[in-house]
Amino acid sequence: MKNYDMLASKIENVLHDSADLEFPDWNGMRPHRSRMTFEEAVRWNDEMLSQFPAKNKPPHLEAERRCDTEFIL
Amino acid sequence: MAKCPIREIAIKASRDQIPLLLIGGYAVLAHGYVRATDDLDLIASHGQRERWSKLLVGFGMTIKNDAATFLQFDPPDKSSMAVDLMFVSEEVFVKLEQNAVETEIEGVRVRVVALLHLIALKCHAFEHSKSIRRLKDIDDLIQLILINKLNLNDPELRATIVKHGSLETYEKLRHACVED
Repeated sequence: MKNYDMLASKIENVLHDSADLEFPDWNGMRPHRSRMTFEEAVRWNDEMLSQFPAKNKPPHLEAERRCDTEFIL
Repeated sequence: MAKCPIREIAIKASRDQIPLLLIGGYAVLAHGYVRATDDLDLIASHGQRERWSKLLVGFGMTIKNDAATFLQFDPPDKSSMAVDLMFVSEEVFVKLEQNAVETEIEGVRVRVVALLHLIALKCHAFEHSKSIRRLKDIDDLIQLILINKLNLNDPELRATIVKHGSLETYEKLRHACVED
């Protein structure tokens, strides 16, 4: 995905009509459950990441990914 | 592994001049929150119901769940992904489509609902769903707000969340999205 900034720039336009939308009742939808092997899941994850590389997160979210524990090997 | 049929569906929909608009997990991905998804969610107007149904059945999909406001399709085999179609009025669809953003997946241009419309849809789902997937919806909301640096103090964003969710949901999001 390459267009995050372009996506964000649409925010202003959409703010004005979001509150006016009316959505119907979609209750009753059933979940799709899929089961894959670990190998398939890893491959799936790789493909997802290549199609949708993560955006830079705010600093406090990045900080959450850090491990404060020191491992002495 | 379930392969997303979006490329083939997008090409066929384009040829048949059926507007394709992504919502759900792929829209969440397109707006910056990387997470797994195991189905393809599309939104369409009620008037496009028969055309969409015919298109998906043409890919070997079978209807799993048929209701006035949605159609759920099972894939032809385990190697393909399930598709959910959710219907709205023509008026709402036009608004969603007018503000949709275009992006590229697997070399094909597809349209995705705008970020704020996705947030409205997620608030609606969170508020009205009784299933455990509400947890996924609230997590999507929190991550989309943080990653896209949305300002929850913006009165119009607040109005959207309160309208499609509730004041309680808005307060929960404010609490969860507080910057340290």
